[in-house]
Amino acid sequence: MKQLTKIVILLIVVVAALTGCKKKDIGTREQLIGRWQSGQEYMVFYDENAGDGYAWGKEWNEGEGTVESDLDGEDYHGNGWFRWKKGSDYITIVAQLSISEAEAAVDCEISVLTDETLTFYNARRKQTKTFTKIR
Amino acid sequence: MKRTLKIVGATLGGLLTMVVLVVCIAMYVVFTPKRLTPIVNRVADSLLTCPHELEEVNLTFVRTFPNFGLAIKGLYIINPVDGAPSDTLLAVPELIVSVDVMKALDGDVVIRRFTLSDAEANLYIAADGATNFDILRLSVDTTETDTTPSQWQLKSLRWDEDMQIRANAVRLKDERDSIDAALQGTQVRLAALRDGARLEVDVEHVSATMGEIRYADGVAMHLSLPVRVENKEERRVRIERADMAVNEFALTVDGVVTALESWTAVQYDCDVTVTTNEWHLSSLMALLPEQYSRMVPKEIVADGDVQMQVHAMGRYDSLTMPVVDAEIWLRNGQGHYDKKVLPYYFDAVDADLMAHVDLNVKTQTTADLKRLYVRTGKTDITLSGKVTDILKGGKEFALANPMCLLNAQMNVHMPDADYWLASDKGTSWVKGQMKGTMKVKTRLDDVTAMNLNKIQLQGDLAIRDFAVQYEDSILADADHLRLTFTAPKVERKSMDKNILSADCQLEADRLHADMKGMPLLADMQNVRICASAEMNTKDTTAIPTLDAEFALGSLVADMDTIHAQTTHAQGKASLAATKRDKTMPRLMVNFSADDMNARMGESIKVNTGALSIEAASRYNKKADNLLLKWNPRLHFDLKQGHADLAALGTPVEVPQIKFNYSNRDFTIDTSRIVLGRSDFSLAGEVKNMGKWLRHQDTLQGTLRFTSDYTDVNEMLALVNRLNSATDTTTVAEDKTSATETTENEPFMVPERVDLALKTVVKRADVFDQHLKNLGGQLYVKDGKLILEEMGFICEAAKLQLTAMYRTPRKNHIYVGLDYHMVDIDLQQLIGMIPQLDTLVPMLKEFRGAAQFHIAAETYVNSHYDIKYSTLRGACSIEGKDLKVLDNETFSTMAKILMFKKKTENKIDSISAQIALYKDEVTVYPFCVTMDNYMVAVGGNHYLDMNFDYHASLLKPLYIGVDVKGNLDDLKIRPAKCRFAKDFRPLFHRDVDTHSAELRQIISSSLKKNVKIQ
Repeated sequence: MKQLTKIVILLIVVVAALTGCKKKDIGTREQLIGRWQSGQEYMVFYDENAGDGYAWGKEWNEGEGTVESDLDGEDYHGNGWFRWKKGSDYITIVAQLSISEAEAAVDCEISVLTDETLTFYNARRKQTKTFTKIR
Repeated sequence: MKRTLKIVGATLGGLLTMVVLVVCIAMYVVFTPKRLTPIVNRVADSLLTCPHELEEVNLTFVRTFPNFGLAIKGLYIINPVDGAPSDTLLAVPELIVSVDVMKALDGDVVIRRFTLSDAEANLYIAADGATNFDILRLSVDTTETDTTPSQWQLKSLRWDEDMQIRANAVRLKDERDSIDAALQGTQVRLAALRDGARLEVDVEHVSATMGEIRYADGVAMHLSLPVRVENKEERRVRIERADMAVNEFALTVDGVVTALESWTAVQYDCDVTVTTNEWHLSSLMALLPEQYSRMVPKEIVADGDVQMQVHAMGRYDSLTMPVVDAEIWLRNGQGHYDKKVLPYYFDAVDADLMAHVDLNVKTQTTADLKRLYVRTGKTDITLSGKVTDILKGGKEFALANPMCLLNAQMNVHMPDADYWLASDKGTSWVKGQMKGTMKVKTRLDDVTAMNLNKIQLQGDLAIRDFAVQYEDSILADADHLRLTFTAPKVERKSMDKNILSADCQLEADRLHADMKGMPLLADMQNVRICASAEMNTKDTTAIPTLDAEFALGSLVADMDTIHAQTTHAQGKASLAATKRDKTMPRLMVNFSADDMNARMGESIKVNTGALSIEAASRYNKKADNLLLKWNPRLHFDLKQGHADLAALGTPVEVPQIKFNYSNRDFTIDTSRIVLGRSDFSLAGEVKNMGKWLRHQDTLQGTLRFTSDYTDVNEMLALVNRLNSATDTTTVAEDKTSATETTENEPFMVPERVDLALKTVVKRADVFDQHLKNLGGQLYVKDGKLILEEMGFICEAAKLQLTAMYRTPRKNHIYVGLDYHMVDIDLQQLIGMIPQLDTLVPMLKEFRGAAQFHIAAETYVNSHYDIKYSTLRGACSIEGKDLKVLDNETFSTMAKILMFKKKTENKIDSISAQIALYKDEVTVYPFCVTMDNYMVAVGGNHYLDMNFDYHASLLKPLYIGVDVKGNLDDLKIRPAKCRFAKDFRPLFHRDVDTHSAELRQIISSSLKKNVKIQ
């Protein structure tokens, strides 16, 4: 019995440890949809279905001389356009290149997502970038 | 005998004594002045209508021997008329008249001799035509005769022998014609001949004015006019050597004059020749009234001897004039115009001119210039020709518009023309001797009005030892030069009177030109240029028409460091107005040569075989683009071209280039270039250049680029060499234009262009790769420059490349590439793309065939700086059955790691996916399994060359290692196994499928575009 108790406790600890490691959701998909700004950088997350659970989005940096109208007529390819899907604490961004059908897929970790704030966190670089919803 | 003599002598003596006695008695007893004076007075009364006086009348015999005569002293004829300069018409100190006494006694006065000495006369003609000398009463008063029948009456009066008048002063005042003349020392002799008479007039001093013009001022005059009646019934008289002279200007008149109706009626038939002596022009000019002499411009100074022979023949009456043929000679002529304007002194001028003057049919008047010789300096010109249409038809005497047809024989010493080249900007001169002929046909008005289009010119000129220098800048010379020209052209395109046209031909055995300003040096052999021109003289906006045909035996030209040479060059060139608009030029040039050599210093040497260029152009001033302005049409054909460019270091061979260009079509029929070891050929067609430039249509075209062999390494070396040469020569320029360089505009892909360049390269060497069958297309379409699916085979792999350059706007330029390699040896892959060793370090440890796919794109600004926010990329490396390390190393490692004996030196597969997003490269974890070991590697790499990799040993035990930092500062730390859940799902259960999904997205999307197998 003592042995069994030990095993049960161990299992409970292990399960607790395992469930405790599971990542916690940050914000919701709906909170993400909208227009965000960080300095001269902009990101827009649309709700429009792009297939496979993805939606369309776009980004540009006016500090580099790019304006939103530069993205017009690009048919969601290249030039800042991407498909996005929200994970628990990250956003998967898949950008299809103009040159071919190749796609660059990355996960962008987020640390804060509220109705007004979106903060990306780069754990490897230990850098954050915070966007404010503007619409 | 003696007696007889005595008797004869006595008889004669008696007779003589009787005669003397009779004469003495008659003179001193019978016809004393007291008796004669009243008689003569009565005669005078009967003859004259005005008051007169006679002092005394004596009978004279000695002075009028053998006739008796009357010596009248103190004869005064008074006829006061208002306006006359004097009441005295005639004052004669002595008048001797010889008459036939017997007939005179019967009333028939026959004057045998009439001598009037030292007379003075004042003649006057009033404005109404009344005169003060109309005083003779020739009709006999019969009434008086009837009343005094016993007295002497004048029945007739006639003149029979000589008449002499010597007048000291004669004054004539004619108010009707405004003439005022004074003659001094006048002698008039009228001598009767057998069948006629001789009139001789000598005046020592004549002064005369008419109106305001003084026609004579102290000139001497002479007239000797012998007249013989040839036929009294026909009233035909002959004038034999009638001499007339004014000072030294004398002329002789010979001929026959017939009075047609009566002696007094002005109706004659003439056949008269007038011959002058040589008249000295300067003296003649001095004799001319000032009003006339000043008509000759002061700038003209002329001299010479003029002689004329004038023949007048025909009727002279109030309606008809005789026809005159005159021959005029000018000898020893000389003179000049204002030397500031025309610095030539003409001497040895010799002229022979025939003139035909018909005042009845005035249009028949002509002049025939038999010869006019003019010499100035060492130049002489001989003219001949004919002038017609001199006078207008009709009653009025008026100059018409003479038609001149002149031939000139020219022998021009060309240095005499230096004056015309003179300039302030430098020394100008011309040398040579020009000989030839010129013909001119023109009307005088066209010359004065400079109607060049109506002047017909024809010339054939040969110049020997020709040399000319202009303003120290242009120097040309030729041994033999021949110039022929015809104006207007023989075949005129337009008969418009305003069109000026000319044909000309230039031939030279050698022509050398040195234009120092440029500087250009040209030497031509066997030059032949035929040209024709048409120009509208009234409409200055109209484009002249020029046609030229040229042939050169050879041409050698040097300009600065450029040297060009060609043989047997020939061609045509033309300039004309377009059909739609006469102000717009249309240009055509055809040029061909057997060969051409050109050299620019030692840096560029070009020589060609046969060369043919046909070019045409229509100018459109409304267009704003050069090509639209000139609308060129070009046919270019070059064979056997060869170029040596020092900067390249490799000769360029052009076996053939043949193309046609117009703004509608640009067709390259053939082109082949051999550069070093490489050869190229380009052919195809480009359409709508004009419409594209006018923004009306899309520029479309398809070109085909083929090459049997291309050595890219050599090309790159050549480009580098060219760049180095350019850099060396432009260092100074770069310094001064550094700002400009930074402001360089990016290349913008033209809009509305649809061009495709199809490329077929059979073999190519790129680095150490030997490529085969390179094929693909280069597009320019919709503002994009696309290198599409360029496929090729090298020893290491099959490759496919797509690249794109797009310029939506100047500060937002797209650059992208899509590159695939199939069956690539990993070692060679790293050799071709060394950066992979940094991204995936373990790759260099593998041997074997793999697939490599990469696609990347970004936008750049106008300075080609990357916009990182737009940087995207994906890369996939996949291999199967790869060898790991070499066998020896593997054996060593196998012992250390205690591999099983059966373990082979290979792994089943490797599949690595890499994503590039903004400035971060993500290497997704990939796993390698060998023997009992399993290793997974993944991480991130940043464009600042820092990285963060993690390696997890998943079998036989779990060990993790983090590798961070950069190559200079590498930090390796033990860490938790990060990739266990990716590759050991059995242990962790919770498989990280998301990472696998992303890898799958990258891998599969990259392969979608692969066409090579």
